[in-house]
Amino acid sequence: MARLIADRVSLYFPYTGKPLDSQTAIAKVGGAIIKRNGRTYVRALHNVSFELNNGDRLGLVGHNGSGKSTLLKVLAGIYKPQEGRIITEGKVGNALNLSLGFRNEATGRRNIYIKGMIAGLSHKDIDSLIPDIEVFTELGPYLDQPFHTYSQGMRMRLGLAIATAFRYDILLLDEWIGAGDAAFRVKAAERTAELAEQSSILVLASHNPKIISRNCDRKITLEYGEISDDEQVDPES
Amino acid sequence: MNQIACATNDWIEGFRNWKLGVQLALEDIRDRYRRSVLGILWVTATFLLFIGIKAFVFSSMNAMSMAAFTQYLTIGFALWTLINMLVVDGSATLVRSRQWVLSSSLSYAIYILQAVFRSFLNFMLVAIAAIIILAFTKMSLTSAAFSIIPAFVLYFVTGIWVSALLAPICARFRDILYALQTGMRIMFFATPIIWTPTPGTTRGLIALWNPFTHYLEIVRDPLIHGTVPVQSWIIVGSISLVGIIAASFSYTVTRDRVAFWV
Repeated sequence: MARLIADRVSLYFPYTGKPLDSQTAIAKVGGAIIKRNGRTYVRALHNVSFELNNGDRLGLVGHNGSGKSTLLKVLAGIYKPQEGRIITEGKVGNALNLSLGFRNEATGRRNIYIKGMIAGLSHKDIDSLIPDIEVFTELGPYLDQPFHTYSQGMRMRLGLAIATAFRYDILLLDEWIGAGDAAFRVKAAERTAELAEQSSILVLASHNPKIISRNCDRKITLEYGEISDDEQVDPES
Repeated sequence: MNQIACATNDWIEGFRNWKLGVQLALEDIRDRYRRSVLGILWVTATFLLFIGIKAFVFSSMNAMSMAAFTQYLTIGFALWTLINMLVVDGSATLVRSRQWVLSSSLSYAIYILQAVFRSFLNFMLVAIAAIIILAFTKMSLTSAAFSIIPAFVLYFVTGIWVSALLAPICARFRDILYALQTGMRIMFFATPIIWTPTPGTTRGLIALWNPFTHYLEIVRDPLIHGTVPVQSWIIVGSISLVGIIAASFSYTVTRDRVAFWV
C-alpha cells in the first residue's frame, strides 16, 4: 500500500534582496515575498494539501516559478517544510535531476553502476538491468566510451534510461520530456507511461498538457505556491 | 524530538550505505588522475619528491641525524596530509555535494563518509611512499607500534565528527571554509613536523599547547621511540569526547536547514 499525503504544507526560503516596504509583494513569476516574524521570506509554497492513494496519478501544472519543482522536492524529503507535514508510505523514487551523479571521465557503463548504487541497488541487481538499458539507449559501443564524449542527446538517453530502470512505489518526475530527437521523444513518452503504470503513485510536473492528460487522472494547478485549481482529468490514450 | 529522530535516521542510513561512500570516494580520486600514465600513483610520487627535498633542505637545521630526521619528517608529514584533508575536505563536503543535496533524498551522512573515505584513500597512497622511505632508512619497530591501530580508528572517528560539526556550518557561513583552509596552513608551521620541539623553549610551548601535536604523537611516538604517549592519548581522547557531543548537538539542529543553505 502506497500513500502520499501533503498536509497544509508551507515552505519559506530566506530572502536576500533589499528589504520590503510593504507587507507582501507578488511578481508575475515565483512565490510571494512576505514578512514573517519581522524577517522577509519567499513563500514558495502556501497551505498545500492533497492526499494520494494507490493508483493515483497526479499532474502538477503552473507557470514558471509557481512551485511545481519545489513541491516535488518537498515530497521527496529534500526540503523540510516549516509548516505542515508530509506523510509517505512506500519507497519514494525521484528523477528530479537526470544528470545527477554522472561522472565525465567514467564510461557510460561505469556510470550505470554508480547511479544504480545511488538508487540503493546491489551489483547483481544492476547487472540484470544493463541489457535493458543497452537496448533502450541504443548507445552500443559508446556505452564503453567516457561520458564526456557523449552528445547532449546521448546523455539524455542514458539519463532517462537509468532513471526509469529502477522501480518505486511512489515516483516523482520533473519535466524532462521534450529533449532529444523526435524518435526518441516517442520512446521517452512510452517509457514514462510504462513506468507510471508500474508505480503505485505518480506525481508528474510538466508544462505539456498532452503529457499530463496522457499519464494523469488528476491535475493540480499551482499559482504563487498555492493550489489554484484541483480537477479530475479524463484519461486520454 | 522530531529533529533527533531525523538526524539519527540520517546516520543509520549513511552507515548502511557505507559502500556507496567508498565507491564515490574512489571515483573522486580516480577522476583527478584519469588519462595520466601514472594515474593515482602521482599522489605517491609527489610525496616521495616532497620528502626528498624537505629532508635535504631541513635536516641541516636539526640536531638529529639525516636518517632519523627523515623518518620523523616522513611520519609527521604523512599524518598531516591525512589530518589536513579530513578537516578541509570534510568541512567542504556539503557545499561540494550541493547538486546532490538539492536533488536526491540520500542521507547527508553519505557525503560525510565519502569525504572521510577519500581522505583515507589518499592517505593510503601516501603511506605506500612513507613505508618505502621508512624501510629504506632501516627503521626498527617495537610492539608499541601496534598502538597505531587504535590511533587510526580515532582518526576515522575524528574525521566524522569534525565533518558533521563543520560541514553544515560551512554551508551556512562560507567564510569559515576559507578561514579553515588558511588556518590549517598556519597550523602546519605551528606543529612539530618540519621542526623538533625542545622542552623549555617557545617552540616547545607551542608544540605542547597545540592539539595537533598530540594527534601526531599517538602515531609518531610509538613508531620512533617505541613508547605509547599516555598524556597525548588523554588529550586527544578528551577532545574527541567533547567533539562528538558538540557535533551530535549541532548536527541535530542544522540537519533540516542544510538544504536551504547550500
